[in-house]
Amino acid sequence: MAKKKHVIVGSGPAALSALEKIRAVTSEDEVKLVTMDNCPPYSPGSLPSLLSGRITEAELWMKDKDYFENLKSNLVRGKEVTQVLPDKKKVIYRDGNSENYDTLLIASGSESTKPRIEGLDEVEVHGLRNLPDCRRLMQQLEDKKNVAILGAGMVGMEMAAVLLGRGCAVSVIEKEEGILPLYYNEEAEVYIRDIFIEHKARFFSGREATAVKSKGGKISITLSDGSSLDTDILINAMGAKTRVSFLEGSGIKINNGILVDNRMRTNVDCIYATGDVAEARDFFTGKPKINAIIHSAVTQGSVAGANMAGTDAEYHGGIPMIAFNFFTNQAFSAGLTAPQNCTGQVLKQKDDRKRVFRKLIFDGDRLIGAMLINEKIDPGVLLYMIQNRVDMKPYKEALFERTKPLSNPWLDVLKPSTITS
Amino acid sequence: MRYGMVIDLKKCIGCYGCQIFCKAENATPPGIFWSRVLFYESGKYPSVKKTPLPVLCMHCEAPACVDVCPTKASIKRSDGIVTVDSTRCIGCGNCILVCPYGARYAYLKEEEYFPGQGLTPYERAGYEKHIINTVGKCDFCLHRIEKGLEPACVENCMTKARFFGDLDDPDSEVSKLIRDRKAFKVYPDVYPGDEVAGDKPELDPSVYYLSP
Repeated sequence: MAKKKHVIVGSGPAALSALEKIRAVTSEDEVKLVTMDNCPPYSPGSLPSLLSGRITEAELWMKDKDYFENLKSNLVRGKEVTQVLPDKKKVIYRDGNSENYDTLLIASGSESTKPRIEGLDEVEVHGLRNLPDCRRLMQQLEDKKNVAILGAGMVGMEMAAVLLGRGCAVSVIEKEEGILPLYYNEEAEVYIRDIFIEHKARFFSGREATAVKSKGGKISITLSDGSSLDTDILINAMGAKTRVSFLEGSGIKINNGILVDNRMRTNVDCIYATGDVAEARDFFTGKPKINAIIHSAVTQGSVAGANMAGTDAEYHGGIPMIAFNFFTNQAFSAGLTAPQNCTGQVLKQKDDRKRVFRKLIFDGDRLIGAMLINEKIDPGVLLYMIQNRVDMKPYKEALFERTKPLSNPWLDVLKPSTITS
Repeated sequence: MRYGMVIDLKKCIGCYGCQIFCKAENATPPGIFWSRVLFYESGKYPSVKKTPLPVLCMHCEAPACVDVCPTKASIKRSDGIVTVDSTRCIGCGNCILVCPYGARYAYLKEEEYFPGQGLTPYERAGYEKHIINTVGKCDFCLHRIEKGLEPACVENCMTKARFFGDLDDPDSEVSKLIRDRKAFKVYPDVYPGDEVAGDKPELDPSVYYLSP
C-alpha cells in the first residue's frame, strides 16, 4: 500500500488520540500535526487546576518530550491554517505557505463566544479557554478579589469553585433558572448550588447581564431585572462556538459544528473531523449533536484515526456526562437528565441533610440517565449500563435497596450457571 | 510482558483476607478499597447461597480510564500495570466515571479511622502516598513487584486462590491456568462463565477468574 500523508489540525486530546490510533494501525504513513498554540499539547480541562495552584505550568503538558518522536510524527507549533482547498488536497497557512495532504483531520476545537452585552468591548473580559487566558487571569488575580462569572455551565462552575478556594468573592450570573443546566435538572442542581452558597458564592440566576461599563477601576454590571453589581474582574464562561472560520469556501457542511458520519467523515472526500468541532451522532437520538467533552473527543479521535489509516471503525454516539469535584463533594451525571416522551420508570432518592441525591431514569428496561451527588454507587458501572443498552430489569430494585454494601450493583445479580442449583 | 492475575473461585472462601491485607499494605483511607470481596446471593429461601467474588482493578489492556485523563496522570505501563501518578492527577474524576469496574476512588478529604482522636502513627505514615483531591487505585502493589515480591493480596491469600504472573509468557502459572481451566473475564453485565457477546467494549481485563 502506498504511503499516505495525514495532516491533523489541532493538538488537543482528539488529535492525539487520532495520532495514536493511526500509529497503532500503520507505522509507515506520515503524520503531521499543526497547531496554533506555541506550546506543547495540553488539555484545557486542566487549566482550572493551574489556576488553583494544584499543578504548575510544567505539569500541564500531557506528553513527554519525546512523545512525537516515538510516534514518528511531527508537531508544528504556532502555525494557523487559514484555508482548505479540497480540490487540490491542500491547506494554506497564515504565512502563505501551503501543505499537501492525503487525508486531513480537523480537530481545531472551539473558541469562546462573545455575548451581546452593551459596552462589553470597552472593558477587559477574561476567559479560560487556553493557556494565555489563564496566565492573564492569574496576573490580575494577584491584587484583585472581586470576580463576576457570566454563565453557570461546567467551565463557569469549575472556575467559581477554584476562585472561591483562592479566597475571592464570586458572583455567578446565569440566564437559566438553574446552574449546570445541561447536566442537572432543577431537583439536583439545588444541592450543588447550596454547597456553593455555603462557600459564600452569590448567584444571580434567571437573569442576564444587559450592560457593562467601567467605573473608577471597577466594572459595573447591569442585569435584566434592573439590579446591578460591581466587580473587579469579569469572566466570560458563556459557552463556546466551534472554530470553523478557516473552512469557509471549502464546501464542508457545517451546522453548529462540522457534520460528520459514524466514521467521522465529512461530506468532502478524505476530510475528517473530531472532537469539540465535530457534530457527530448522538447516542440516544442518532442525530448529529455536539458533545464537547473529553470522553467523546478521544473516542471520536480514535475512530477517525482508524478510518484514516484504512481500517474500519464506527462511532456509537456521544453520551453527555460530567464528573465534578468541588469542595470535597462529588457529583456525576451521565445520559439524559430530563428526557421527553420517556415511558420508563424514574427512581429517585435524596437526603437533604447529608446532601445526597440519586436519580436514575429508565426508558423501558434500559437505563438512559443517571445523576448522582455524593452518592456511593460507582458511576462507571451505570455509564457502562447506558452505553451497552443493558437490560436492567433484574437490577432496578436491587440498585435502590442495597447499594451501600455492594457498591457494584452488577455483581449482585451475577449468577453463574454452575451455581443456581 | 503483561502482568495479570487469576482468581480461583473454587478455592475462594470469602474470608476478606485480600481486602484487609490490601488495606494494611497500601494504607488506603477509610471507605476506600483497592481490593474488595463482593458477595452475590442465589437460590430462593430456604435454600440460598452466598458466593464470594473478589475484585480489584482489572488492569485492562485498553483502559478507558487512561484515555480520558486530561493530564495523562493515568498511565498504562509497558508491563501492563495501570497506575496513577498522583503528583499529576488533578482529581477531575473522569476516570471514575468511565471505569465499569468501580476500581477507582477519589480521596477528597482527610478522614481518621478513629474520628476525633487524630491520625494514628500508622495512618500518618501510610497517608503520605495518598494526596488529597486525587484519584487512587490498585497498582498490583507496584512497590512490591519492583522488589520481586507478589502483590499483598496474592501472597496473603490463605487458601492460595490467587495467582500472579506474566500473561504473555505461555509457560507462566497464570497462562497455564487460563488455558487448562478455561478462565473467564468478567464484564458488568455478563454472568461469570457465560459467553461474551460480540459487541463488548474492547477493555480486555488482565484479571481472570476460574469457575467455582
